[in-house]
Amino acid sequence: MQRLSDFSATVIEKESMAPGIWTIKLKPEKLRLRILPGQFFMIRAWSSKDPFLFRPFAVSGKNPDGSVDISFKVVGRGTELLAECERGQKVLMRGPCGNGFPNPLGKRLVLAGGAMGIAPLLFARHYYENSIRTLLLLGITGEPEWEPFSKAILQKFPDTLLFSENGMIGRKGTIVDGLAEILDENDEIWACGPEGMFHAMGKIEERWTLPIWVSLERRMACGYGGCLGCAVQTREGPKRVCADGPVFRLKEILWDEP
Amino acid sequence: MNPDKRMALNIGGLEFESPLFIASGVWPMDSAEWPDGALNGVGGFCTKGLTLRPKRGNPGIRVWETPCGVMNSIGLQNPGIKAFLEQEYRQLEKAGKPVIFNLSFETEEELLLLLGYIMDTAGNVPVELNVSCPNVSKGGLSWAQDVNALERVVTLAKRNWKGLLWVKLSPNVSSFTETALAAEKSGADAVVVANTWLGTAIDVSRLEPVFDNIHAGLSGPAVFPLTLRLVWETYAAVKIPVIASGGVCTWQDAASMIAAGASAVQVGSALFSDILATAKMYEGLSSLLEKRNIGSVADLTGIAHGRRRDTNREDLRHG
Ligand SMILES: Cc1cc2nc3c(=O)[nH]c(=O)nc-3n(C[C@H](O)[C@H](O)[C@H](O)COP(=O)(O)OP(=O)(O)OC[C@H]3O[C@@H](n4cnc5c(N)ncnc54)[C@H](O)[C@@H]3O)c2cc1C
Ligand SMILES: Cc1cc2nc3c(=O)[nH]c(=O)nc-3n(C[C@H](O)[C@H](O)[C@H](O)COP(=O)(O)O)c2cc1C
Ligand code: FES
Repeated sequence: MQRLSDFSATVIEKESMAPGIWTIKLKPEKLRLRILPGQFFMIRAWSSKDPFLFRPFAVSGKNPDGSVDISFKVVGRGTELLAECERGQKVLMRGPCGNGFPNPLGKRLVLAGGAMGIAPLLFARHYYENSIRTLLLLGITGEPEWEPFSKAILQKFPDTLLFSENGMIGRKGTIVDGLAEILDENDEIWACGPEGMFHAMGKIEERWTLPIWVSLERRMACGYGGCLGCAVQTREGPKRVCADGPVFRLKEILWDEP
Repeated sequence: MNPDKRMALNIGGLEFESPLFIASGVWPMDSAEWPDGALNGVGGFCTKGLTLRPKRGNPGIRVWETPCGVMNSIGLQNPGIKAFLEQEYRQLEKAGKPVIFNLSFETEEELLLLLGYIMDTAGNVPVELNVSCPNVSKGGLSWAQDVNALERVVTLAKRNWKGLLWVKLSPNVSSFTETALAAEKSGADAVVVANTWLGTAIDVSRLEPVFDNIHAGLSGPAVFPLTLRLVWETYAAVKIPVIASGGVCTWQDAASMIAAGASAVQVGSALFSDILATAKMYEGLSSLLEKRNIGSVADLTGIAHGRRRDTNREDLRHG
């Protein structure tokens, strides 16, 4: 696995997916990146000490020119500054961080993304395009901003199964309802999204025999496994989302404990 | 990086190749996870806070960004001293850098047991007593806030430890200098100035405290001038070496701390925003010595006070 380092990269493309949601292509200056779906980068689009910390983002795609795609939603100051980046601008990156999803070869894979959580799964879909059969699911709430976002995903991956809570686009219902229907024909689920989605999946996991891997989010200070700020409690004791994760077996996680 | 002999120093009889140390609680304990080059120019590093028994750490949000800084409430998550010595320390030993054991304890018995286990496995390594951890509701804080308790526990440690003894003080006390003097009087070989500054954060989206413990420790550039003042005052008050810890991000920060009286400097949160921060500081400090024609980093200590406080300080001369 490639060792983590801090390096600078250039924004070589920037595309609006929907209002407030962007995909940018970042090309590292010196490094050739070797990354797996599920790994992520810490990014700062500023060189000042304020904001002080990098922000974590999943890789949503990798391109032949060596650049990586980051798809993100503007939610605060850090993402705002990242969204203000124009082509040619330099950003700082730290990574590759964490471990990716386990090797799925020979399996029929379901990729279940809740809203922005679909980002790492887009990379997975692309990465295994020619080797395994993957089924992409996207679940969104009823908020209007997710409609254009869903359309952008559908345009890229027309066979995406889409669920919206209020039925404004795709089928009405949650992604977990959708999952229940297709389990028989599949071997493994990879999921990323808000924690509520994992709780719902956890409740029915006992009835499902297939393994579920989830990619978690935590506030992070270092991203290199040093600060223990991103801990999650598991059956094997506390783990670091940044360095031991962000991908975990769903049944390993103890949500209710500190 | 070119090793520079002028950067070497002696603290309490022990030689270090650089005055720059990695502070406790910011660095992975598995050397397989260390990024290339990140330990260049590092004189040694402090372990994360170790306790007698394993600790799972605090629930809820543990880190929160502030202007030019970060607050943390980790809660001393660690596998306990025995597991640490059996597993992680075996890895660290191989790294070829001095390891300073950062210890937290709630009772004097706990401290004695900790020292006993360390002695048995690692020998007389340097230890850093964390008498200041502000995160755990029962432990830490009380030692620094009560000068008598502080004297008792440092005296006890001194009597039972042949290796280097650093005492890492808390800035969250009414008279900092008093605690530094108490540590000196009780046998500390050096004082580390200082741990994180207690603060509070409210999450306005929930209108609730961010941290389950309500208060948390602030670090990073935001605290630099505050800690610099403590370093200045402590240098004026004590004779033992002062090791600065608080907001050091650049070589200029490190040089300021040293000029204000620090013999050595710990780098913590700076690594969050630049993993090569220490390596860069080393280069900067080394060229400062070169440019100013200063023979040793020890000669820089306290230089801003306008006089060398005590030219016979053997402990600060490099060998
Ligand atoms: C491993 C990982 C991968 C991620 N991948 C993506 C991605 O591909 N696309 C994307 O849009 N976002 C992703 N995130 C979330 C992203 O990191 C946060 O949205 C971002 O840090 C917010 O920064 P800010 O300064 O804009 O917001 P802030 O002002 O810091 O916070 C605004 C809001 O963002 C939330 N937030 C802050 N930090 C985090 C965090 N580390 N994780 C989750 N929520 C946070 C806060 O709860 C708050 O509601 C990922 C997070 C992690 C941990
Ligand atoms: C995430 C985190 C964890 C820390 N854990 C410890 C600890 O276990 N023991 C300790 O003595 N200090 C601990 N500290 C304090 C640092 O070692 C350092 O003294 C402090 O952060 C100030 O320096 P800085 O501004 O360079 O970070 C921790 C700091 C941070 C940010
Ligand atoms: S963010 Fe520091 S250990 Fe994960």
